[in-house]
Amino acid sequence: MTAPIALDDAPRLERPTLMTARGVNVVYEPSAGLSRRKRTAGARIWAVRDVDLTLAEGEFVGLVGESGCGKSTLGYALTRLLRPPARLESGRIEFDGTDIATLSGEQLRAQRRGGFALVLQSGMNALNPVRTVEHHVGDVLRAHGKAGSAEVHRRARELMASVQLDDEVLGRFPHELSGGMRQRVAIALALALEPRMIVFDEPTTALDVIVQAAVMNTIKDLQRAKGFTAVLISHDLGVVLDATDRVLVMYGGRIVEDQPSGEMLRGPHHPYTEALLDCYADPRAEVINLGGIAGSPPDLSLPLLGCSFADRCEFAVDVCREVDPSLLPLGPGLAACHVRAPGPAAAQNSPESAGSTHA
Amino acid sequence: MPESSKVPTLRFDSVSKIYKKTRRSAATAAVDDVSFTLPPGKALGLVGGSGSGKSTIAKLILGSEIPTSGSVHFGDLQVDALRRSARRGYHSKVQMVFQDPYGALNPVHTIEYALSRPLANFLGMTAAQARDRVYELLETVGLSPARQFAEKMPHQLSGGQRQRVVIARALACEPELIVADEPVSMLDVSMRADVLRLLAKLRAERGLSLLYITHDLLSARVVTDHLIVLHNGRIVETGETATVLQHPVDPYTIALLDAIPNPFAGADT
Repeated sequence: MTAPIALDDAPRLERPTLMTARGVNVVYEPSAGLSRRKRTAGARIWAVRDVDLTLAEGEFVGLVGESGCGKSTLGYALTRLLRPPARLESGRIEFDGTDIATLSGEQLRAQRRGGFALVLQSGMNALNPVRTVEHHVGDVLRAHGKAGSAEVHRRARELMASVQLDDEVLGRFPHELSGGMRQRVAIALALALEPRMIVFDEPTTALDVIVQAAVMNTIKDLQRAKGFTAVLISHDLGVVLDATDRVLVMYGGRIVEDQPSGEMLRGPHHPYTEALLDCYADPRAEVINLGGIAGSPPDLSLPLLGCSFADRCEFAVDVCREVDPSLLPLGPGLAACHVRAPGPAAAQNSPESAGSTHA
Repeated sequence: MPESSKVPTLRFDSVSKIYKKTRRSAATAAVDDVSFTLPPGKALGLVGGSGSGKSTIAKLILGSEIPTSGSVHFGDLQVDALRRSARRGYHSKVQMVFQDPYGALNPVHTIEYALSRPLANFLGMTAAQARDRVYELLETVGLSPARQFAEKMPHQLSGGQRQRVVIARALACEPELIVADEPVSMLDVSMRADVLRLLAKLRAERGLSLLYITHDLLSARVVTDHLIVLHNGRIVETGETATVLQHPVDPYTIALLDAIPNPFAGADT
């Protein structure tokens, strides 16, 4: 197997590892979790395919891709929140040296208390419409045995301040808040137990540009001040490049490029990343040439044959349709592309069986 | 192809829309003394953040809200004074493209059904007559082979394809004005350019007017000639799209431009 070797070759920030994922596959079972009557004969969807990743302590990583590329599913897998019909089919996810798949009961609760947390896209759906903001904060703190009511109130005010909300918000109900304020409340709730890692799943997608910029600034400031590891899941490469240290690009359930953000902005290596960047422009520019990506994403109920992006890629050659490319070193990071990062498979057009030591 | 000159001008004269005070909130002027004209065959962008009043303006145009003061004219028609019977004719001239292509199509009906409704409702076509027109519309918005797409259900289409269906439906009764409220904001960035180009192309070919509502300045730059920047229900800046974006004057316009994530807004890259 070449992938782990490639990962070790990649330059890493000099920080201890917090999370590693190896060979992660997540499938959606069409019949799982439904009553017998509702089961249908749909196909299994392989939403996340053989994903390896490493997150360092205090790193801010972006996870980018189109709808249905598996980015949110991967985010749920990393926080042990997959629910039927989704299932971790294979692979190992370690958080601080512990395999999170084996956690249960009190051990899992311990990880949720100061381990990892998730912020969801829609602040409205993530909050209980008939409870005040303070009740939400109290709920989190009490569920983990952290506080009495005076303590809850003190901590709640502290949390509001950290996300730049007025204390007065604590007495309000979710529908009385704007979209941006709701999202700030959701962030405050994730911070409540001081986790070491927070996964933000499209935290600003439902917001307008000005509010989005303000919420992203809060997230960036909090990440810097508190030093937690942050994973920002978004379809918006612009937002992600602006906020993160490193970006993972997902396509068809796989990570196809992994680069420091600055490097990716200067010159993306994978043709998919390149095409995504072409979809952006500065509205102030003299001439606007907006790109798009023709075609549709791959059908994830089918097995992978070759590179999943080959059908939409203008650089695709024969080997791209036959052999699945591995993530190999390219530039300061990694890319899975036969054309840009030719591995042994591309060179010999044979399945990856090459030796592990070649300079 | 209808001549642009036959398309009426949309005109707002000092329009205000004030939502009354409720138990929980004070009276709000969603639209505050707004005047503008949209000349025939032109594309006008309304940009602003949440709560700037841009969607209320769309509702005022469609007649689903009535101005508190001022008037909305479409050619000789005073939209806010239309009687129920006259609304029907007006709605075949003014069509809407909504933000959410997932919510805008009935999930239990085929694409053919969705597209044949306006043909039956406004043009009185029979199912057989409508069928050919449906295929034609699907081809127009780039969904071919049309026969295959016509048979599909909404869930079998991607977001971009659904939004093309919604655009085709808006075109079905040969409208003179299309009001598009954030038509690409729910689509993947990789799909946006194509849908925007389609809107621009259809407008040019058919000579219809387009009111394009968005908070995304880039897409406004791509499809509109003129821009109105709204803030708290008031017009804060207006002019040719490229000029407004390249030489913004109002602090709110500048703030909107600055809020775009840096990597693409910075001139230093």
